[in-house]
Amino acid sequence: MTHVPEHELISAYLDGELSDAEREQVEKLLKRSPEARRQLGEFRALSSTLGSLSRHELGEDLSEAVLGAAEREVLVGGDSVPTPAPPRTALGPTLFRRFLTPRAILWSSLAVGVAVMLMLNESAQQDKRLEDGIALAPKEAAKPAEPPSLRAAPAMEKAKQAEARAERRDLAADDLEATPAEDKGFAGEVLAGKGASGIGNAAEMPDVQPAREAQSRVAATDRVQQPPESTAALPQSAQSFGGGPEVGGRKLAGRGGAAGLAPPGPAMSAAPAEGVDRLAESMEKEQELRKSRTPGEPAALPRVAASAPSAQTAADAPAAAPEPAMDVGAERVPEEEVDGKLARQGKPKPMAPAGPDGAAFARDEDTTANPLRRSPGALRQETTDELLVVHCDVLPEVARNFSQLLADQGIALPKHDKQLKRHRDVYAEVEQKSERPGEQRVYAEATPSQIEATLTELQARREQVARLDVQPAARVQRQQALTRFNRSADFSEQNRPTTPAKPADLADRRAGADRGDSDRKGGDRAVEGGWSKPLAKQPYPSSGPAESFAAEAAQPAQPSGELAEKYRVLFVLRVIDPAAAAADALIDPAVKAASEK
Amino acid sequence: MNDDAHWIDQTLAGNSAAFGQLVRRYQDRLYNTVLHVVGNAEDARDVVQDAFVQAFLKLETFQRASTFYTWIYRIAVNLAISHRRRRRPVASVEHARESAGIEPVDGGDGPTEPLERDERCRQVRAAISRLNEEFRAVLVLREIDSCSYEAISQILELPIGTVRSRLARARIQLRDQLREVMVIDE
Repeated sequence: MTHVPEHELISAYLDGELSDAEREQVEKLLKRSPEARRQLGEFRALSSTLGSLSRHELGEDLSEAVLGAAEREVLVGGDSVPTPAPPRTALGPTLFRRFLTPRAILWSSLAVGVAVMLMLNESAQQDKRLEDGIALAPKEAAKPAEPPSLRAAPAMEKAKQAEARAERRDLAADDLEATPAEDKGFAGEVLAGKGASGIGNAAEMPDVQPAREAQSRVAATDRVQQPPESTAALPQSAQSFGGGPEVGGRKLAGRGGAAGLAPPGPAMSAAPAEGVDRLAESMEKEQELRKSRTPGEPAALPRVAASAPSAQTAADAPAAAPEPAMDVGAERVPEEEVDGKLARQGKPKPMAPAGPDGAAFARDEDTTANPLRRSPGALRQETTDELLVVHCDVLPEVARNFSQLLADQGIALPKHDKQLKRHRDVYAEVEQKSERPGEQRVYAEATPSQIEATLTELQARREQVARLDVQPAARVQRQQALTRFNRSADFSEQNRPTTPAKPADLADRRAGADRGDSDRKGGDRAVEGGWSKPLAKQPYPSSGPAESFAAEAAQPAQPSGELAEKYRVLFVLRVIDPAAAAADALIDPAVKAASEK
Repeated sequence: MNDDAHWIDQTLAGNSAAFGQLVRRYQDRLYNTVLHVVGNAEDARDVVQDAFVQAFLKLETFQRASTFYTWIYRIAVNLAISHRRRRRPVASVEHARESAGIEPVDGGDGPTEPLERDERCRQVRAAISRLNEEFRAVLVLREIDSCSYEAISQILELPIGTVRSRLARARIQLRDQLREVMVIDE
């Protein structure tokens, strides 16, 4: 017990703020000590003196002054007033009055008129394209492979259109199949699908007001961010009207050569030229990404094969039709030329997809096709909303010490509720799709190397980790490369590569697939018994223009690049019973013996 | 106190006049306390007004874990301490009295003016003014405003043990300054 000075006890005794024991102690002290009694008397007299002081009053009502000062404070200092609730007035009459002004009626009529003209124009062009392209597509698909160099450019373009349509149907069927999938569902697909309607809406309204420049830019960015699935999920009319990413991008690019099918869409024609160019560049980059996906990739086939008959038909098209050419922007390069370049670079010819780890990147072909998806908020923060979900079946001790495991790898966990909420918002779809009782979710932000180290560490704990499943695998690395590419200040027309250089990691992946990948299950990755192969050591495998990406990756991290190099990772830990795991042969028998002890 | 919650709700709902009720309820009590901290009537009024303005602007952040009274006191006392630190050279009662030749504590118009002229009260107020800040705030809250130790602890955001310790030391300091007055009293 700490020693309390007597004067302090006496003072508190006077105020009645002592505990019973202390009060008894003070009373004993007062009995035996005249000094203590004197001190108590002084304190009491002092208190009496202070209490005798008259109370002062303001003599005025401060409320008016307070409210006036608060108002000035708000106006000058920009502080927030307690938010008054909006008056509960009838909404209908207010809106009626607001939108029935002559100006509003005029603008609305103009907007509707332009929209109708757009629809008619787009519909006519769509019909023409259907006649020119789709009608030829089955024939092209049925034909045996021909050397691309022998083809005429128009024929290649038509075949490409047919392939693109078939690919969209393929992806649509893929998406349909993936939707009911239980916990393996990739949230990004769902999020992208939700974004599809947003695209359509953004494209429907003609941009006739300069003030909407920023909005059109955001819409353009969103288009880049939309994966093809979302476009394919739209009705055909919506695609034609809203201008799906590829169609609209080519039209707006105006430099598409053979791909330039129509004049710029009215919805974007009123947008600033800068925005159009930016959109065009984004579309071209998307095309590059899409081109890195070769037909007949085995990982996509199992999912397609199990889908609807229409999807099966669609899947046949890219498989049977030879890829006529690779195109980047306006140029189209025969596949032979690309392969020759790769061969000169000492890279194996890409044959089939496989991650550099052979196991981790099972769905990489999907991620290749997905364009960059970043929300405006993420753009401002220079982070990506890309998801990396790591499913682990672990023993309880791993779950208990998982935070320490992450800390050992230098991975930061959310520090406050706001940050955690931001993570949860990003992973909302995953949360909904994989909601299971007893699961432990750990949100983190980590660099690719930290993620790699963590996965390697989990792999090493083969006796404690029964299952390790990473989704969406290489997307983060690929998207990081694309993010850097998009932000590159010197990205311009002259240094934009004209050939779609195959990324080295893709070649490695395909080589890995040649070696065989027995772990693949229905397009998703489930590595039973642990992580079979280490992740690639290359932190940022290139995608698209390899030289630019390599140069970007070689550069030191920019001041703002620290955030951009981190990704949101969700570790979904399913705690398994040691005995049951051992019985199921999921865990090393030695662990069973240890757990029994 | 339930009325306080009602007025707070009304204010947050957009009825600014409701905050006026809170101001009227606590302004005098707050002013009396702040006056002893800052030692100057004009400054005390400004501090009280500023405290209510701050409270109004930050009312959304009021968690209601404590009473509104405690919360507004915390704002006011902190403002008063800051104010006194800024204006220390001219803020003391002694200095004002000596320089102006009048008693500055009260406006001079109140019904208690004859008492304010009492020498004993003047000495007491001067002694309080000379206390260290940390002791003065605790002493004023306890002796002038009769706050419990727990309330003082919440207002000044101090542990109760610290409140008890500071109060005892403040009393000793004040006793030493007012020994003659109190001896006369006794």
